[in-house]
Amino acid sequence: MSDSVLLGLDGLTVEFPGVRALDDVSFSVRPGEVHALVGENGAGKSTLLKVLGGVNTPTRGTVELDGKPYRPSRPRDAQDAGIAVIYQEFTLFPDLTVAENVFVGREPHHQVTRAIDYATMRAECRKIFSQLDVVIDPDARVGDLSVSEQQLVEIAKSLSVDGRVIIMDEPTAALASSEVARLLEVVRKLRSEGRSVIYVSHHLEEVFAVADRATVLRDGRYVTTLDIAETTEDELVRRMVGRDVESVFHRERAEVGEIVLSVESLRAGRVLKDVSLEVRAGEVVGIGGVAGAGQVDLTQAVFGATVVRGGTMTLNGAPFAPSTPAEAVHAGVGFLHEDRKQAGAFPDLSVEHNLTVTVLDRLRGAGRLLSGRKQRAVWRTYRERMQIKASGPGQLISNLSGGNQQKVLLGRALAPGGHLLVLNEPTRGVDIGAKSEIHQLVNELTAQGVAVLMVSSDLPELLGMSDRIVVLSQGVVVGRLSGEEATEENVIACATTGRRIGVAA
Amino acid sequence: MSALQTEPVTTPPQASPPVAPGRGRRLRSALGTLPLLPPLILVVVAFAVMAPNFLTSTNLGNVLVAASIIVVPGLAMTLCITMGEFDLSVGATVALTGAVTCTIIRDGHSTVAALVAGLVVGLLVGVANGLVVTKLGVTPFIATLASMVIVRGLARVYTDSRDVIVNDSTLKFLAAGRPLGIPFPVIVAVVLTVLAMYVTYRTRFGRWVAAIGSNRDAAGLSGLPVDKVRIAVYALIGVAGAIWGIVISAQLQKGSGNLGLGFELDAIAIVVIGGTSLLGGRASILGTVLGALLIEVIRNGLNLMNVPPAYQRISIGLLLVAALAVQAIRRRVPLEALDDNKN
Repeated sequence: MSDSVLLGLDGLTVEFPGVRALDDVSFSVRPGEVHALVGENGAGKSTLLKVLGGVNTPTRGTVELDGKPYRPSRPRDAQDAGIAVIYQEFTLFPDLTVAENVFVGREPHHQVTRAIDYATMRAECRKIFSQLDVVIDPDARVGDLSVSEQQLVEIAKSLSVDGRVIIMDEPTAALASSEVARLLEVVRKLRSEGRSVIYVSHHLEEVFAVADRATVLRDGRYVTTLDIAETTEDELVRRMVGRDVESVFHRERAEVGEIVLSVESLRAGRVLKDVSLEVRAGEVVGIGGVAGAGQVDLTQAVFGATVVRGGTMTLNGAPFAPSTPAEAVHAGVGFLHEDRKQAGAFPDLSVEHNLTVTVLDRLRGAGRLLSGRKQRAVWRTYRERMQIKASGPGQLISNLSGGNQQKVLLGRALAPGGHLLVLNEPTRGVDIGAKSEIHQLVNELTAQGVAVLMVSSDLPELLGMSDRIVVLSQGVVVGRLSGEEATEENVIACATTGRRIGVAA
Repeated sequence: MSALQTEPVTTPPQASPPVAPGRGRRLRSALGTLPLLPPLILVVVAFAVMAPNFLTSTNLGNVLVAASIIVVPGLAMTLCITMGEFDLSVGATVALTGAVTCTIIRDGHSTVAALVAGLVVGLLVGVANGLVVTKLGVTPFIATLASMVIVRGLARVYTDSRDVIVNDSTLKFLAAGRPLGIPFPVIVAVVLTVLAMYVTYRTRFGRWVAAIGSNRDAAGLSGLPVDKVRIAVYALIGVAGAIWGIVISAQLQKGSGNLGLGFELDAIAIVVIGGTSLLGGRASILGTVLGALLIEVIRNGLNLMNVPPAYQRISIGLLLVAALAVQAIRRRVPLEALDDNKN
């Protein structure tokens, strides 16, 4: 392989208000290579892709394509330069046909009648698909295709602009393993045609199967670029993790009591295939895995927010099959959504109202009207218990810090009187100080006998706060880690390489 | 804890067996998008039995003319709804453009100039809507609600809240002329419907409209000129509203600031009843045509049966609810299919 450079990044820095998403990243992609881009969640991979795709503009630094400056200011510029980005969220139009999707924005058409030349589009489409060795009807509606076929349509789209650099963001996230093999085959084919592929994936086995080199990003910074032939999965994992588990996580183990939640062979939602676990009173069970491994389905199933298709659950020993979140709340499940802004806080309501909103029916007084006194009492109780710092019950929740907002929502989750807390990314978007306060709170709650099921993509948090960790991959349990086995390396290895620990294969 | 069985890798459902591309599929999908045909036939038969004089050629001709007049703005509205948006200002545009045209004629200027002026005013209203929606980022509901109020106000200011009476032979021809024995509005409607189908299904502009309605973010990421397309669609509605205003004024031989009250809902109703999804992405031009026919048949039949106008409104409202319920039920199907896969 030549050492020539097709795409060169130099000192690339992207800042958003308050965040530096990419910090002085430099590396280069050679012509005709598959270059993997790896790193934990939040390492800056997506931001990097968006810079190359003309969506984000770098604050500093340069990109060169073929030795010439490459500064796309909109997606069209990237296309015109032959850089095609296949985002994780497909940019397809489900209501249009395959051919229309592949050529969208560049439809061949008659100059006078303005009619789209469907015959040419179909023929070109078939040509591209036969290059890829797949059969997809150019006239099929994209919304009717399977996810893997949609992926191939995205790839066809990038070939139709004659992409010299094709960037794939987590292309296998939604694929079954047989489809993954087909995709990797396509990637090799692209390389054999002399195109470069930047391949972003959490799945190291894919990286090792298909990539020539891998660049590691961590916390927005460039770490290293390794030749795949000369490295090992362990080495790559070490480079991805690369830091000590921060000591701010102080899990104080509580006395473990009865089983609160028991999940048996649960099959639910889109991804979750077979998961069994139990959570006892006073215990924090952490759920690990790469994004999309089934964490969302699991917590939503427990909260009655997704379709359960098999398996059983019990709550405090009684059969438990909530079909709506309201039923789950009624049964005593407290749920903290991962997206506080979208699905948690009511930004225009007061902290008191945010806190009491799930229990208002209990806070009525004379004439079935809401009792201000009872609401105030609940507020006082939880302000105390959660150590919420607010100027008063009437303060708008949106005026609180992220950490305090999260405490209000934790209070809301517990207000119905439940003993099971389902936490999704409990400290996402809160600062370090509030983070340790929330962790302290979790310690206190478990000491009071609350059982906690926690999903966190923040590895140090997952390791630091969980008594036991259950690692999911593609909807099944691949690791059950506790004590000394619970290390970053093991969690990442289970999540990304399919290695199994504490689980029969 | 129990040992986990690894699940056999389920092969996902293969792509639907290769369908013969081209006309056969297109025809079938065209029929599939015309769920209105049976109810239309049913209503026609019912009125033929119950309503006196329904089946006379004069009456059916009247129905056809009424449907033809309403279908023109319906076609433009179909594009807008396919884009995932809608325009509430079209009824007010009817008043303003009709008033402008009639006033210019009344003041003794040429009829052609009056017609052009009406169309240009409609175009300007549409472009203004488009600019507010795209450049200022106001949601279509609020933007066009505001412009509905503003344009209606302008129409009343312009007419000084008085009727503008005209007596113009060209205008009369537009509303009631019968070249080759076919009412002129029907000819216009047929020509514009064919044109709309061509634009919607065969040109880049039409496909971009569907693309924007199908996935707005993807449209931007794919480099489509999203704002230009949106402005153009609102401009088309403005022009269609002007045509509507001119024809209605021509029928009445007067312009008025009160013309076209509530018309915007008719224009949206025929599109929605016709099966174009409010979620965007899928246009049914023929559905809109059938929607126009259905509404006008019902109005006409109830009129002949001396049903008071208030009840006619109720029936059209119920029709709208029914059409939307059918759409909602159709959307729910995939989820239930998911449920069926339990084992």
